[in-house]
Amino acid sequence: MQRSYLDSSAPIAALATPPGPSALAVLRAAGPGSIELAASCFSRPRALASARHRELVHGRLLDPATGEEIDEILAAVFRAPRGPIGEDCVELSLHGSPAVARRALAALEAAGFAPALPGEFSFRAFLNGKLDLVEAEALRELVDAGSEGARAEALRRLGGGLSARLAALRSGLVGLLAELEARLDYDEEEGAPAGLEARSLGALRAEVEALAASYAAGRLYESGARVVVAGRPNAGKSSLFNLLLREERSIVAGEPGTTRDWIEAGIEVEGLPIRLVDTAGLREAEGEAEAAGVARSRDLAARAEAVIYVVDSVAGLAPEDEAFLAARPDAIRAWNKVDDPRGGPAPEPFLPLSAATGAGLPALAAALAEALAPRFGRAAVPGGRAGEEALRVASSRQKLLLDRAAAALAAAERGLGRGAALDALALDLREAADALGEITGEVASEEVLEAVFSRFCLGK
Amino acid sequence: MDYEAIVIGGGHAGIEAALALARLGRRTLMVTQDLEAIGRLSCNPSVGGLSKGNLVREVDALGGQMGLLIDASMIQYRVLGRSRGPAVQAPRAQADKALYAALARRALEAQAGLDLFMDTAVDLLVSADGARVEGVLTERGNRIGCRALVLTTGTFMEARLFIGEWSGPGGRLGERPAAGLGEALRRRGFRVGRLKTGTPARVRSGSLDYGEMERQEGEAPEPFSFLNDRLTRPSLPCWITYTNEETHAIIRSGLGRSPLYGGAISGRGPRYCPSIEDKVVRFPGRPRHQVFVEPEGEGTDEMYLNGLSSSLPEDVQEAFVRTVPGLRRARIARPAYAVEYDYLDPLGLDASLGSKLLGGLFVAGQTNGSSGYEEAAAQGILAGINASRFLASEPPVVIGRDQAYLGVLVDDLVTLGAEEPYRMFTSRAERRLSLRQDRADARLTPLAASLGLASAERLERFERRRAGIAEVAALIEGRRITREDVLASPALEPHLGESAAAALRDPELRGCLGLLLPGLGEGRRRDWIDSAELDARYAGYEEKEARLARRMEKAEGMRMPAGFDYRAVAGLSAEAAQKLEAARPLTLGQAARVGGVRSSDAALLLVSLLRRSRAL
Repeated sequence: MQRSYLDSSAPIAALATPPGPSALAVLRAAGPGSIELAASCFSRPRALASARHRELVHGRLLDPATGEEIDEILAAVFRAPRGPIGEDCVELSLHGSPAVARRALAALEAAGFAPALPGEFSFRAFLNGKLDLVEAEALRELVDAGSEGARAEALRRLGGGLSARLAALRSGLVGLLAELEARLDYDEEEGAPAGLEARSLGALRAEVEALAASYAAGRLYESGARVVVAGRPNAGKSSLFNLLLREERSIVAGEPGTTRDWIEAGIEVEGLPIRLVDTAGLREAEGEAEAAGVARSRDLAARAEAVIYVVDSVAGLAPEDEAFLAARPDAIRAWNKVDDPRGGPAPEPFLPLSAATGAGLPALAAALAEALAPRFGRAAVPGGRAGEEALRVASSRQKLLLDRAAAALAAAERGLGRGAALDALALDLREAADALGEITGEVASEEVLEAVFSRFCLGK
Repeated sequence: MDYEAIVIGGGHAGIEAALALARLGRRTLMVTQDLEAIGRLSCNPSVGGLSKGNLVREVDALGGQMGLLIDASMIQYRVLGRSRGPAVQAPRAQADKALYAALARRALEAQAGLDLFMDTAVDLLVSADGARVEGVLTERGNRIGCRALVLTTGTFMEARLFIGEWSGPGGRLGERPAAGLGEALRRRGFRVGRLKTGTPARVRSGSLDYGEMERQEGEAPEPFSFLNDRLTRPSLPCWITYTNEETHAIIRSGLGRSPLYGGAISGRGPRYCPSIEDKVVRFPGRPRHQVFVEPEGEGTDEMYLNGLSSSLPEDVQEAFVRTVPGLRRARIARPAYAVEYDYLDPLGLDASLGSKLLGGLFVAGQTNGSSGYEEAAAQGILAGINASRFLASEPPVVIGRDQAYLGVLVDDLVTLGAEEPYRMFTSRAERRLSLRQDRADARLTPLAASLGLASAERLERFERRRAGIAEVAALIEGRRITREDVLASPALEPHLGESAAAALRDPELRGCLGLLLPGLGEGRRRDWIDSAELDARYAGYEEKEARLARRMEKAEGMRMPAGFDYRAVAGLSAEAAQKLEAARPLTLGQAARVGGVRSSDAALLLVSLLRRSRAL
């Protein structure tokens, strides 16, 4: 079962405009505490948190985890009981790129917003007396949403490998609850097993944590891995950047960076979404010293998931190149301009490349995909197609729920170690079940009893 | 009209219902097939246990009889679940069956305003418009009038007994069923189903080899009833032995002759109390199963073979029993048997245990698909209370899930129904840490007082205990951990400057109270101190539990109006409407828990409820 409509205390967020490219996209975030929550991923948190009803606040939307900027936005604030929903509400106007909207929504979920259920804004507006029933015909959406309630359906939607892992997790948790409940509901003399083992708790926690970690890969699918093209001026960075844009599948049409420090574009290499960053050009036009340019590249490269370092084969390796590569030894090295007869042969482990003719590009792309594969958790989500499915569910909110479950399990483990009573430990397990329940469907007490009776021979 | 209220049945539900009605001043008649059988413990000779002990304490806190009966008839006392934690541990007592039943009958006979009558009900008398119950028709043609009727038929309605290939009518071995009533209720449109349960053989004590079994002693007895301070009761041992591969081989070879495995019984039996053949079939890898040999009373030498419930033929029973150490020469006095009986679908009741079909009809106990003496008694007292309130045209008493196991029990039955005999489990309660057995009085006695079910003595004792616990709690809260304490006991270091209550929440320091407040026991009852200490230890957990349970409480409590038209709710799925019409939930929370009702359906109901209230 998904989150209940009846729980009207949760802050919720959703895209209010239709998905797809448009001039503007509007994200709506509402519910008690929603203004403060939204402020936690805003460049001017105090300005937003203290904004009056109907005030517009200008600023930048940030990823609350990394502090990274997502978009320059305009936030419209509505205070309960006024506004369209009758609850505290923020409407964020973004630039209308689907990728930006997706990342913005992920940021709100990471900040603690639950994804709104279909029709939930209208439902709340009705609850708060903002809609009469004729208008609330929009509530039809609720009915359409009904089928989503079924657990199996929800799990099916999660897609391939992940759904199997979630199902395994759920059954592990039900098993653990059964073990614990058998002890709580039956005395030893009635056949209940003796002590609860920290080992089984630890095993489940490790599983939850592994899944939470795999969501980092999912998140990367959502935002794209940042790949920086670096190198000394005139090494051919921009040529390579343009070549990759031309040759590889472009997933976002030449989306410019939101600040003017670098140029960024979205491409897909072997099914992996990549935000390609060209650090060339602009600063040189601004007349900055070469050293400062390299330092800037280094800074961007340090935060990137992968780096392609381009060296001009005619100019050869310079001390700056050696210094950069020493700092970033995992960089993929491109020996550019091999079409130029003046250039020397590519030293190991440089890959020969001609950004002008495209020679050597497939090998470079393969090296890039190979370097990024572990980050995308390729083992867990094999193939580009499965990767796209994972992208839909890899929300930060689900990761937060998994983290909450892992923390509750860790608390139970700690309690067990300190000799806490089983009845108190059961509470931590219930909290874990609650958190997981929001992803996998609520664990009903009937289901736990079912597991108790099938696993243990109980009763005098 | 002959009586204000009639209770059909003299079992554990009937006893509490009849006493509650009479104590509330209603002229009441109990109709039972056999006055000798009042208060009989049909199966195991014990009362209480995990979550069931809590129910007994709750019945007592409401002014009921069960706690007093077991206090005066126990022959062994134990606390179960001690290693599980104080919030779930609960008392259990072996009962002298004959004494228990005799005391129950005496309590009924001593009750002013209550008559007992030996007869068998075969039908209900119903008003001309079919809306209200007006009395009962009995087997001998007596028509006895009443305005409120409590039905507690146990395992007797249209009941059949099964032992191997043999089967015959009966509600308990040697006792005839209540024939006709189930059929009459079917005709009147009640949803009637079949359930099954079983009981093990009784053997003669003199035929057992006690040297081959392990002796299990009881503990010093503690009272179930809040009206008793201390008990002086005998403590008889129970005995433990085990089945073996030979036992299992005999059972397997006899399965073809079992009415259950052969298909003669259609009713569903309880998974939590499996017969020995079920255990052998479902857990083929287990080399042995535990058997408890328990005395049936001081005045008999029959012993109860707890763990060997069966419906295999008698020759197979004798053969497998005699493979068990200690039972090799056992002589069976009564064979094990299964009983299949009619029950009424509890979805036909609301949370007051009142029928949705027939005004003035209340149903309690196994008739509702539950199992267990304690579950029956708990429903009985609630049905009695609400039958009395119906007579006075007062709104029904509904016990919350966060208030008592009784509340969980009734809410589960009337919203989920019973597909197998329903037994109470602590895991069914969202707020089990708040439902501690030692706090049953604080949870329910104020309600009993407001209803008029708490005697002056009970109120006086309740007030004294409440004040005593409050005083201890204040001492615990006021005691600060000092430097000297830490010097004396370094484990207290992390709590320096905090109160003793904070230290008690630390699982590693659970024994620290005696150290910090050594004089606490002087002039104060042990149970006050224990309750106050547990309150302190569990305070944080209870808050957390409440938080987890509160998620949808606001909407949860909204009442569904009687006669609410589910089909008129736009957008509600046909399946949900049908399920809700069958369940007729009292609150939106109950509605949301009905199987087949989705979250979005509950949202639509809420919209519809608000629309009604705004229109008014």
